[in-house]
Amino acid sequence: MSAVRMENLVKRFGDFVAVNDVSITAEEGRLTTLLGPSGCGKTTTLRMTSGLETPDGGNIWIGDDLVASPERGVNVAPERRNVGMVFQSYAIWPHKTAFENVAYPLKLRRMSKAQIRDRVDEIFSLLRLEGLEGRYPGQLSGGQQQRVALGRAIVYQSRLLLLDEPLANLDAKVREAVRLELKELQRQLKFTTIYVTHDQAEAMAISDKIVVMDQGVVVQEGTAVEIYRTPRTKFVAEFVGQSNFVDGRIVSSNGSVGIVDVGGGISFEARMGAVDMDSGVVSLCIRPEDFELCADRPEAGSHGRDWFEGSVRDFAFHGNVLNYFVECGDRVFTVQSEAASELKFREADKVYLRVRPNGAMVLS
Amino acid sequence: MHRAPLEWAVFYGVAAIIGFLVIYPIGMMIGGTFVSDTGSLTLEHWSNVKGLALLWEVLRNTLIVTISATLIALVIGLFLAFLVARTDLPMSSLFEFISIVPFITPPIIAGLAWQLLAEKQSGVLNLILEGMGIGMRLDVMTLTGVTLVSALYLIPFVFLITSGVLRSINPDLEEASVVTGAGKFRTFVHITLPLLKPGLSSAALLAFMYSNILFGIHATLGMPKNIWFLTTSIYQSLSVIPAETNRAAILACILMVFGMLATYMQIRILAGEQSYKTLTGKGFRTKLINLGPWRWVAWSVCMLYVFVVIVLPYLVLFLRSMKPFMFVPGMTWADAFTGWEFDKYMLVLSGEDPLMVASVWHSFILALGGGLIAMALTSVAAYMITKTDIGGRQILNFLCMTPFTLPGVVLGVAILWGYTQQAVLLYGTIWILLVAYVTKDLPLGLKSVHSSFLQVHSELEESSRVCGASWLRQFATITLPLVKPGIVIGFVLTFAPILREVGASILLYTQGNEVVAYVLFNLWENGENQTLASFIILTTLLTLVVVIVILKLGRLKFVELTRSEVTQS
Repeated sequence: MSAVRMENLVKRFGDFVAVNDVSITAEEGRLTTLLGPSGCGKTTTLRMTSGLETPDGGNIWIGDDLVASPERGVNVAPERRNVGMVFQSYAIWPHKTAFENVAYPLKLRRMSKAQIRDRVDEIFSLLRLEGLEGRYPGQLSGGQQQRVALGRAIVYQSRLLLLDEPLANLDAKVREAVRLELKELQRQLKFTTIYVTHDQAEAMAISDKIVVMDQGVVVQEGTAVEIYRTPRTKFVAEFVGQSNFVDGRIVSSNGSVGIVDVGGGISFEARMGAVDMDSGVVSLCIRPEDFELCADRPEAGSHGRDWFEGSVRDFAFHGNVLNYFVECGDRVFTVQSEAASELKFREADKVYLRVRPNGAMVLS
Repeated sequence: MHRAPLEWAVFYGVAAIIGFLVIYPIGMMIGGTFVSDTGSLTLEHWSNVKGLALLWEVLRNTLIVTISATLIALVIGLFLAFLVARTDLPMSSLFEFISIVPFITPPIIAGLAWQLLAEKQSGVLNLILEGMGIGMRLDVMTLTGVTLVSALYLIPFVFLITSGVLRSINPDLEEASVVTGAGKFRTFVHITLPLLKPGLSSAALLAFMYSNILFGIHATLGMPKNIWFLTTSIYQSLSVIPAETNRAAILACILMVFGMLATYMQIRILAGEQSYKTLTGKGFRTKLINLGPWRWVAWSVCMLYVFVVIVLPYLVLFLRSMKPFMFVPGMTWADAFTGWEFDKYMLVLSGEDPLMVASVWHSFILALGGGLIAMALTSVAAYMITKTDIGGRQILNFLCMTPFTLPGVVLGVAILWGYTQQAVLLYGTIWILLVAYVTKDLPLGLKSVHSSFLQVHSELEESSRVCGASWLRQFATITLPLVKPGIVIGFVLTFAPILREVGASILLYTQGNEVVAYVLFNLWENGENQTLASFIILTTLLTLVVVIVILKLGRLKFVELTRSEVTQS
């Protein structure tokens, strides 16, 4: 297992630039997720890594091997890259049994019948597929098919595992269970893994590193916590988790924390992130859980932590989470309540809210 | 995607072979009509043709028959399709077999059978009418007769397309209309018919195209009475001595234009059909109209069609094969079903006439070989068209489909022009027939594998590459097994008709290379009806046996032929 390095990858389909100057590193033994909406270029990037698409520019290294580089005329065929891949449709062959599907890569590697038998048995017990060897794909459940596809991708000890939306076709319940298994397996066997998904919850739950892509470029990368707590752009803030956005003017800044006047005599204290300005108009992102909410007018807050008044327009109960939609002037904020199980406010109730310390984030 | 040199070699090799097979003979034929005997460019052949008084009559006959047969087939075909697809007709699945009637009864056999049934003097049906004391007489060897027999033959094509469309209309669309307050009738006129329009026009054009190429019917019912069609005129131009090759080529060009126009219009209509996406959705149950007591009347109508188009022709052929002189006035039913002799079957089977055995053997080998080669070529072509982004793959698609617009005689003429040249001299050998059959099989072959390839998700193939398989390995272990049903069906659909192909065969056979069509034609011209009938029955049985064996080997059922999209055009 080894690391992957992509440098300045470019891929065009006709006039459409699917991937535009993308550089990504996947650490050895870690799970790196490419996250983004459909059409952002994440799957194309993955397919270029596997060799199923040929880049128009840039380089791809798997370990120490340069596998694709149009500039240098290098383009290693997919069958020679020795990577494993799980497809969104699973792509397990309907005319082969579960056993034959998993044994196929080993047969190609000219292993003896006995060796194949042993290795496939090992994989089947690892993935808890024992007893299903003789079944055809049509006789397997979605989760079982998914595991067969995974088994086929890891059976030959490839140096890199590529997963293209592997959970997208599973029911919500099964998806969560399989996600957990996948994560455990990855931690246990330590494959270098690149995982493609459009589901931000999935990405946050499973990844060592998340690479957020949009319109063919990488917009931000980091751990799940970094991406969620310090989104750099409105796109990231919107795509990963829920956000409230407010425009305001920077009043002062010490480099890491600034005071932003959002109008109406209210100002928020906000983390500056990568923004290096001490004046000017900016956008703020505030997560719903970063508001404090109370019924009675509290004492005046300190500068940047002002309380302001609003009225509850509506609420949404999600079981583990309770969100209020609070109208303040012409803005509506989504505010997550601390006590999800009890309904403290009703429609039209007057409430007071403010941003928690370090709750707001300046976007660039 | 990375492509190995081998992959490119296979792709370009196949594309080159297909390109040559299609372009070369047609080009030679068209080009030939502009070259004078001394080798200079000229229009004299074309201006000479205008002078032939017959041509106008031929064109008129052809258009009258094709247009009226198409219209009749449309009305009856749509009616049958409606009964089968949208009503609670009893045993409706049985009638699905209507769609493979042409496959069971090639036009030449339909023509011969109807001559026995409804010839003016001695046709069996006329004898029955006489026996019943009815003064009316049928005469199938007239323009009307040819039209009606053609229509019988075209109905299955209309049936297949329209029943498919009728079944795929989402009932929600109709129910939505009923709910808004439109009655059932208004709904049918304003919703159902417009949704059917692309299917209907596509069916009409397909029927029109087929009606042009029913050489077997035109020849058997028209030629003896001097009623000429484009197809038979081409044959006649080449059977006189010396052969009028230029005239044949010009007539062939005209007939080719008919087919191409129809195809072009069909493509235009089908392109427009893309906007009717709702038609393609599946997975709903169409609500069936309750016919009440009328359902058995409807059932009888459908049975009558099956009886007229399959049972009657084969019954009369069978009876004829058993009796030396059965069709004489005053004959009783008992006479028809007694005194059977098998001597003509024995004659055919004994090999007393070596030509018969040899012709069956030749046709069998040629149909088998032609089908196999065509399926190999079209499998690769379909792969290129559906699974790659290679430039010019649509041209390849077009080339493969081109022979579809060529009646057998036109293809025969083109191949005569092409392969009598010194550089590729195949005339006089059995190979010219093989080339003709492969060329003729390309469209059906491509159609049948094309849809199978489309159904193979490309990730199934890609996953094999990522697992470590080379392209060739992937094609052999993943792609081919997955498209096998399409290939087997394509093979059956090409094999069976070629075994009894007439149009091209009777122009291309030479002494020592006789095929089934030659024997059929010869027996027919000599009036040896009993032997002819025995020969037809035996070759039909042979075809059925072979088809069933192939389907068995491919682990497919006979019914699947009726469901194949191929026959849908």
